[in-house]
Amino acid sequence: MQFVVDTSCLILLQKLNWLDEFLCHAEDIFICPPRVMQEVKNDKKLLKWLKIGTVAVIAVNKSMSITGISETDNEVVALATEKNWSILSEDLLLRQKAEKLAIPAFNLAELIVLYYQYARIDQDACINRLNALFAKAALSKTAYRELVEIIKS
Amino acid sequence: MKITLSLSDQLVTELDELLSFNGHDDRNRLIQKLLRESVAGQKQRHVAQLYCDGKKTLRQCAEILGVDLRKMMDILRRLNIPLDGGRFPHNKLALKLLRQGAKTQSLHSSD
Repeated sequence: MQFVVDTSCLILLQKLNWLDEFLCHAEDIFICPPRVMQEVKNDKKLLKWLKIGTVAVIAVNKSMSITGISETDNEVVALATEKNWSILSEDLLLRQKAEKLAIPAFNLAELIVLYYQYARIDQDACINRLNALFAKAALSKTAYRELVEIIKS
Repeated sequence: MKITLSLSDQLVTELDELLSFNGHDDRNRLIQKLLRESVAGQKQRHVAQLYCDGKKTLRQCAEILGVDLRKMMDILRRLNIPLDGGRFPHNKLALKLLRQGAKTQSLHSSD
C-alpha cells in the first residue's frame, strides 16, 4: 500500500503508540510533502519517533490551489494527485476535498480495516483497534458500526 | 477598558461564594477569570462546530484558536467530538475500496 500521509494521522498513531506497527511494513510506502514534514519536526513526540521511523519527504512538482483548505492541506492533495496514491488523514474536510478530485482518502480506522483485508491482522485485533480508536474519540459510533459491518461481511 | 455590568443579586451572591471557596477577595479578577475561560470555551465550541460542518480543516481550526494540530485534536477530544465529526463516510472512494475488499483494491502502484 502506498499513501501520502498527513500529520493528523501520525499524531493519532503516536497517541496510540501504533506508529511502528503501522508505518514499518516493508511492503508499504508512506510519503509526505515538505510542509507536513515541517509539522512533524515541530511536534516533539513525532520528532522523537522520526529518528527511528521513516516517512519519505517528496516535494510537490505542481502546486494546487483548492479553495477552503490550508496550504499544507493543498500540498497533501497535490502530492497524492501527482503520485496517484491514496491519502491517509484524519481531517474531515481534506478527505472530502480529495474525493472531489477522485483521490481515495482513508483515516486510521479505515487503514485498520485495510490491514485486516490484507491479512496483516486478524478480525479480533482489528475490532480491538477500532475499539481503541472509539475510546480515544477518534471514531464516531456511526463510522464504528459501518466499519465493523464491513469487517464481518 | 472598563465595562459596567448589571448582575442579579443571586449571581453576585454566587460569585461571592466562589470567591470564598477560592480564598480570594477580588471580585473583579474573578469575573475576568470566569469570562476569559468562558470566551475561550465558546470559541473552541464554535471552531469545533465549523470542523464538524466540514467548513474548516483541522489546521484551519488550529490556526483560529492559535494552537498546533496536536492541541486541536486534544480540544476536539475534550469536547467529545470524534475526528470524523460524527459523519460517515467522508470519502466515498475509500469506502468503495473497503467494501470491495483488499483483493480488488489498487493501492499498489504496480496494479
